[in-house]
Amino acid sequence: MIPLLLLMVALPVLFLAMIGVLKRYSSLIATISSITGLALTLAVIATAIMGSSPNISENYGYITSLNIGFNLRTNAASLVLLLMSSIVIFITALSGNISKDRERIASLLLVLFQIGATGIFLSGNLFIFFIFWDIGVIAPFFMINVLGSANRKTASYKFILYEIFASALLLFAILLMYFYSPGHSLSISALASTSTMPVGIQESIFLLLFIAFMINMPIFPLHAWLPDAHSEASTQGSMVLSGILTKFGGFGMLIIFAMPIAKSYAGIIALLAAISAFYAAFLIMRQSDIKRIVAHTTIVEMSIIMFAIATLTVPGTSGSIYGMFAHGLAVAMLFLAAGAVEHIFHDRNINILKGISHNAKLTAYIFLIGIFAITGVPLTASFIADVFMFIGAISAFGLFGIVPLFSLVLMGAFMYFVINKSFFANKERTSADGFITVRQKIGYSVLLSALFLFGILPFILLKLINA
Amino acid sequence: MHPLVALLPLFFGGILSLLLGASIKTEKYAKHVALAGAIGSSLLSIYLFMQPAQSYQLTNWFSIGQYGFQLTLSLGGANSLLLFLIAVISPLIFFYSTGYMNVPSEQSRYYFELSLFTISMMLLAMSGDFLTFFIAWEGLGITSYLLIGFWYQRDAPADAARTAITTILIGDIAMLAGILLLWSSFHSLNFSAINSAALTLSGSSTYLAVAALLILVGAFTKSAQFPFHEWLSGAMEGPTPVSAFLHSSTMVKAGVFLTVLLLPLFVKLNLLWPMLLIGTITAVIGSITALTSDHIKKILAYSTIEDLGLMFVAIGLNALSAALIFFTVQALYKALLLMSSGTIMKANDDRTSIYRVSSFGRNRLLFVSALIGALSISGIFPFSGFFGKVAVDSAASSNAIVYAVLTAVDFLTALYIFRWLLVPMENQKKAHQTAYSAGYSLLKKSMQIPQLVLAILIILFSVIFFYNGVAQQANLDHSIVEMAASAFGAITAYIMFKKAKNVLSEGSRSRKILYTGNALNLAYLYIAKFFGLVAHAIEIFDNGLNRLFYMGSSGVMGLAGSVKIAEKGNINTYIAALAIGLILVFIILVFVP
Repeated sequence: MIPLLLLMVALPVLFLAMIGVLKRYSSLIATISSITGLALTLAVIATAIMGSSPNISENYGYITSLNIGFNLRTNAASLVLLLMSSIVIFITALSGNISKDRERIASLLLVLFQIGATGIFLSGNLFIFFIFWDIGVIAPFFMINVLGSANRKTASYKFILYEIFASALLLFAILLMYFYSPGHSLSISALASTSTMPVGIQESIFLLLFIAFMINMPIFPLHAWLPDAHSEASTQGSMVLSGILTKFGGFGMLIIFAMPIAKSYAGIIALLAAISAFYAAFLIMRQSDIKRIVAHTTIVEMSIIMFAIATLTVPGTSGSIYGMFAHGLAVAMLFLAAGAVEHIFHDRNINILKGISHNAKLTAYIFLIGIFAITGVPLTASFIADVFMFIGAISAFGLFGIVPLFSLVLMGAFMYFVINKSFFANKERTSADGFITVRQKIGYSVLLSALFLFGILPFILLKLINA
Repeated sequence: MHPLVALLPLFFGGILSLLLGASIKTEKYAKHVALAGAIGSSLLSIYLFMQPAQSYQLTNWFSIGQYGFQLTLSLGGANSLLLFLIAVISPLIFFYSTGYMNVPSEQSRYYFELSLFTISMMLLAMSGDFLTFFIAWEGLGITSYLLIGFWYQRDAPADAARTAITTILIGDIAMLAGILLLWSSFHSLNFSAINSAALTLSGSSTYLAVAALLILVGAFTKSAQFPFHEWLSGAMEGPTPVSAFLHSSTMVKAGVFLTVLLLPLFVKLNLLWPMLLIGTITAVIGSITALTSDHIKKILAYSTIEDLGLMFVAIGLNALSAALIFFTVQALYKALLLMSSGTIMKANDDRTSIYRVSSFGRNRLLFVSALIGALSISGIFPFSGFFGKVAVDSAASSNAIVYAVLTAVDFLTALYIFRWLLVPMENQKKAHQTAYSAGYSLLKKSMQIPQLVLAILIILFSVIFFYNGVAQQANLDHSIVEMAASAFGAITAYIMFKKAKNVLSEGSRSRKILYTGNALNLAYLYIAKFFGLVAHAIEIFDNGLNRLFYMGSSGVMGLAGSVKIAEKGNINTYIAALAIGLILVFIILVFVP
């Protein structure tokens, strides 16, 4: 039996070393690494479908004296998110770095991030979850700090402060878990059976983890790092930050909402998520930086996903997994297009950008379709997600469950305003050269076809999720 | 035959015309390909129309729990009627487009978008459940956005497209919310299942009422009902064939069509009154505003708004057959009138003001077809519009207020449409206009033939109404009242605009009083401003929050700084601190028990 899960984590380490040695082929190696990741993910999914169970696990010894193993395991959510993250990383590696800016370090960081992301979705216990979490946070930090745009230093420190705070809480929760769980088990599945612990400890673990993941998702009021980080990062950085890093939090939420104690907090968390969705939707209206605008839509979408997780219903949870999948693809596409706009016009301010569609027609239409995708137009994957999430919400909260859907109106209305202002109206030809490379075209078409494929044929993923 | 087969010719036509646009040499064939696709789909749809009522289950798209989300197509009843109308009008629109759209470089994009638009509408007409309906509904919204903003290089069409998509977005989300609420009650999205489940409901349900109202908001946005109607006049910035299509058998009819499909549900929930109320208000606003516009197409846009209001009035009175008769005849005359106005604009170098275009009396074909359209819309016997108007009026006869309003609307309709027809006639006398009238002799046949066909269809439908008994049902009293109001309107128009043309011209006081568009746009502006204000307040709050976190972190840093003072390596400080500490320990040990 091939240790597929171990390979998924270990192979990128090899590629990382290769980038260190073969300096000239760094970009190629990163692409190969991401393709390997995608292939292995598909192999794991195929195994899961053939074995008709999404739960695969591999256990290796690690720190035996503390009863901590190197446990890798998959479940429905992790398989879906792995698929999404490997597609996004593949496209990021292939077409994210349009200007070929410092390719070696960019590739290095991307492969490092790949290790972190894959590890988080595969981790079977909280200890290695924590390790991969930090790897997954450090790589984007450098993507902002080194490869970012003008305001990158402030943004990156803000990002790392929030994230380090989150990982401190995570560590604290892990320690609590270690001392109070029977047999010092840190296994993620043990979280579901914490009802034997004292209530105070359960509450502490839940709240500590909740705040940690809430920062990462992000949910109001701990969202402030996101707009800065996403807008100042390199295009590759924005794509993985928004597409994948925010899903770490979502994935974590799925884990902790399996805790029995979660029921008593679900209502208030749902309320917070609903507020967060509208809050961010209103904040979008005050933005003028095209990457900040897209960054804020991430908060709206992730808040809706949080809302769906907090319904604690089967359709709500399935919908949130589907929603994270769809949003990862859609937002990566939006950031890829936004990066192309920045590359072509050397500007991100919508008050200055005019008539983008005249010089960069393909990019303009891709951006438009990205907006359709995040507002949940049918036949895109987001629609399926919206249907599941809000049916779960209605069954949990009745009429109030439908309210957060209307944050999409506010968001969509402003997005159409942006499209009108900067993309279509205002015929003002600039000398900008809208040439698009083949790599970008591949990037657009892969993300686009994935969005529509899983929107038209939802049974592929639903088979995994419902199994 | 499977109903989806009817969409294939259009689909391939659209794709092929897009591909033909790759080279300038082949682009000129795009229109032929698209037209062939439209004719193919039209013939297949007419074949489907003649099939017995049937429903086709496509697939179980996905399931939640044990409940499946099926995609279903349905034929028969209102579905077939709408499909038939699209089948009749769509090839005419494509044919008209071949003459109208003579911009060489944009052909393939135009026909691609138009084909997708038609496919969406046909799918909408065939849909047997809410899911299929919603897919088609969103497809319509997006393709109409692309078509309205077709000339996006200019600001006006791009702005109009944005207004349209924003209004449509509100409706889409409201409708999605309504659909999901409906599903949560019935666990099915099939129209017939919903309607039959609604009949067995007992008591009132807030849940369902909210769902139905949300769906109604969706229907109102797409069918341009007050207060969501302003986008439709802006939509006139799109190419004229698109306007003709949009206003006759497609797009704006989608909302009316939905309420027709779900009528039993609305009846059961006692929610007909919003349709009656909003429909009446919209009809009045539409007919009055039509009087205040000089734009040759916008007059007709407001007229469409009025027509849709009348349809909702008929549905609100639970008069399904009246609504459907009017639904049918309106498609014919509105397509004809809009094509006429497009032709007039084409002959006048795209000038749009009725005071600036030259008289088209010289072109007999154009004049006669426009006249037939005008007579039909004002409801003059024996044109088919008459039967539609009388059917709606008869339905309203039980409600005196609505009946009075509808009669006034009949009068206003005749007034504005004859203004539309007569004012350009008068322009002939002005010297500087004569040069332009030459344009009428250069018009392409491909633009005139569809008009002729539609004019014939208008008369043909009257004959059909005599055969299938619709004409016999027309109440004589109501017919006389309707005819009198219309004739009075036409005569008033003749007196006002033939003799004293300055009435209601631009800048006149009467127009300022009558035009409601500004007030509504101002209201929208204030709503947008309000949202902007809220956004601003939230931004200030957000900045404050940021500041708080910043202060928190700098507080920690400050603390670190203070602690650092103690570690300077100054031995005196260390000794002093040690001494003070020892004394403190001593004090505590001694005095604290």
